[in-house]
Amino acid sequence: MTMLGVAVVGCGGVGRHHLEALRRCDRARLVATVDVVPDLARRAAVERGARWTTDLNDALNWPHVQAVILCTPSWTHADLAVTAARAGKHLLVEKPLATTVDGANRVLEACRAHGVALMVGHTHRFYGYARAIRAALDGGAVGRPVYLRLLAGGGFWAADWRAWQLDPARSGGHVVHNGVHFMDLANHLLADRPDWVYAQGHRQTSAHLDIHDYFHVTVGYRGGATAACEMSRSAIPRGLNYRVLTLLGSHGEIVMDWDDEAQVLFAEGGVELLGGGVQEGFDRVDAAWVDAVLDGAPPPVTGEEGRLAVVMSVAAERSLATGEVIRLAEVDVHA
Amino acid sequence: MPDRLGVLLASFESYAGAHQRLMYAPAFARHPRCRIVAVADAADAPPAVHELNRREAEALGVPYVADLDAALGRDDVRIVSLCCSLARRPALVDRIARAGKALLIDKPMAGTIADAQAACAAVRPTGLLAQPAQHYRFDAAHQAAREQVARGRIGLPYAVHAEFLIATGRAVAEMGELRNFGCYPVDAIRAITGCAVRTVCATVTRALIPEAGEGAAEDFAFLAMTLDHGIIATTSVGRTSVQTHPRGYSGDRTMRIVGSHGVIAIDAHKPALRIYGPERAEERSFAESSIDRQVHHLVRCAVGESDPDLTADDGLAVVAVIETAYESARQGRVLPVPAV
Repeated sequence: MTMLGVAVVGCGGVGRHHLEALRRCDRARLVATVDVVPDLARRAAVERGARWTTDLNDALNWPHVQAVILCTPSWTHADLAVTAARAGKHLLVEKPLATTVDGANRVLEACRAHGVALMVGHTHRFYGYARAIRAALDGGAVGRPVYLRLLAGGGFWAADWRAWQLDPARSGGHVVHNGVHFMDLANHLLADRPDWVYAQGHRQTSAHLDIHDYFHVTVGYRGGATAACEMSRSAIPRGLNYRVLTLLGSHGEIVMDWDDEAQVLFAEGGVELLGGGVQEGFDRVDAAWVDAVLDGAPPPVTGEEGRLAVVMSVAAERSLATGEVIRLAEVDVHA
Repeated sequence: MPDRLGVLLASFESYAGAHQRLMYAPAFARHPRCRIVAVADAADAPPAVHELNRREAEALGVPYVADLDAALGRDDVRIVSLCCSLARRPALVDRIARAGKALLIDKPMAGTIADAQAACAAVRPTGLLAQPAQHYRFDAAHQAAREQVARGRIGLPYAVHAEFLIATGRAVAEMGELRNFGCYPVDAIRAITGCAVRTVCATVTRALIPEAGEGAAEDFAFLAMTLDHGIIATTSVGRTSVQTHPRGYSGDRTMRIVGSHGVIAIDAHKPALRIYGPERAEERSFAESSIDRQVHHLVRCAVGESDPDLTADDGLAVVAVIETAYESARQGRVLPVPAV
């Protein structure tokens, strides 16, 4: 197998990034697109000479579809991933792997049972900053990681406020939807096993929100490390989208401040960071997944790691509701 | 110089004595309206402490009075800077309060909630000016931010996040770095928001000073707190072994106050210059010393020019948070901060 035939399932917002990433990947070929909105599937397919459908089961039966990138809304991940795994298709599932622990478990079980590779699209690991930090840690620059503070300060959702992302029944809540990125990144950088979480949050933009658009999750690790993960969709100024990071190691410290971006625009409207955007993360995720499938190597973000991030996020949502520390064992017998 | 306020340096005992020597005595010596008149300690202080005090007095060129009560009887003593061990502190605070002298108490004000309550009980009936040396709240950047927050520049604050990470450490404070340094960010968070801390969830660990050895206390802590009005506040507290930090000992002392209409970010080390020398890089602060600013405030309060911004009750409130944080870390739970 020299080229991987891929079906992209879900051709909306995040799907567009994966379609672009596949365009740049020289070991994969888009062979099918699937979306319940026919126009989205058709447009994405036609320009690349791929087939399209509104029914995943159709695509799973087409020749040349060897693997699936699943980037539908979060609540559909578990069922669709299980369906694809049962059809013997290798999987790249967008984060979160599922919105529930049970859903994540079902996906892992189906992939194991049908011998397909599973990777979860935790793009933050693949951004330049995270790669640079991981390389510094691997090089022994600061010793054993002890403390990590992560901040992503973004403004309110630019999309329709009635969209599924703001509906906890469909997104799992803001921690499950977006915070899961930081749960995975913290695990990746601290290289320690999480034990408990404590989450605090606000419905900041409006008291009528059903999700916490601002939250902070403290994660306690078995080896003694601590992660402090703060994520906002309520930041003012809305367009700044800044990132702050502190990592303390046993022998040193890594710091990235908000203005460590390469380009900062000062204009009448305020300060704006002109970073490189998110596409680089998708490009690297997709390329790494394609390599792993074609080479028979373990994917760089395993299903188990994706499952753990779901467990942490679900526990954090429970902590938000109860105001208590939640041990991961309370939401997952395997933790 | 009769118009200067006489300052009595009460003890140079142990770690607190180092604070006296390195921080408070120089600040009083620098202040144009103060004069250090003597060093003193209780007559029943350990002989080694008396000997240490005597040497410090000699170095400062002032008399040593080995009887605190006698020193407190001097008319020229208006302010006492108290730096004895935590164990002897409640009793000495009581004696100084009875003598009616203004008081600067080394931080932490006490090592237990009970001792902090005893200190407050001693000073409250006297109406005495008594300030724990929680000088971080007097940092110029913090005070400016506090004013902006009060004026509504960021709307209603809903989260505060601080780092308080001192660098270049080679040893860990015997009492633990949470107890040693935690008062600074916790007090500053209280001051800047004007809100009390209601709950705390904490972790403590010893991992940053490899030289410290197995039996050492914690060198790092993390506190996630809830304040009045549901304000979320977190702070790291620690001492790292980073010897190359461009700010030296000062390390990272930052705070972000997140509000409904904006954010204020504070860096207590700034304003600063970045100096790239032939051998090393350095970020040299030219911010005014927060200790000098607290001493100046204390002096103005002592002469009736200002109302105290900080009292022993603030010290008690902070001790309650810190001691509850230790208990939270032990139990692995979120705990309410007891009403004190």
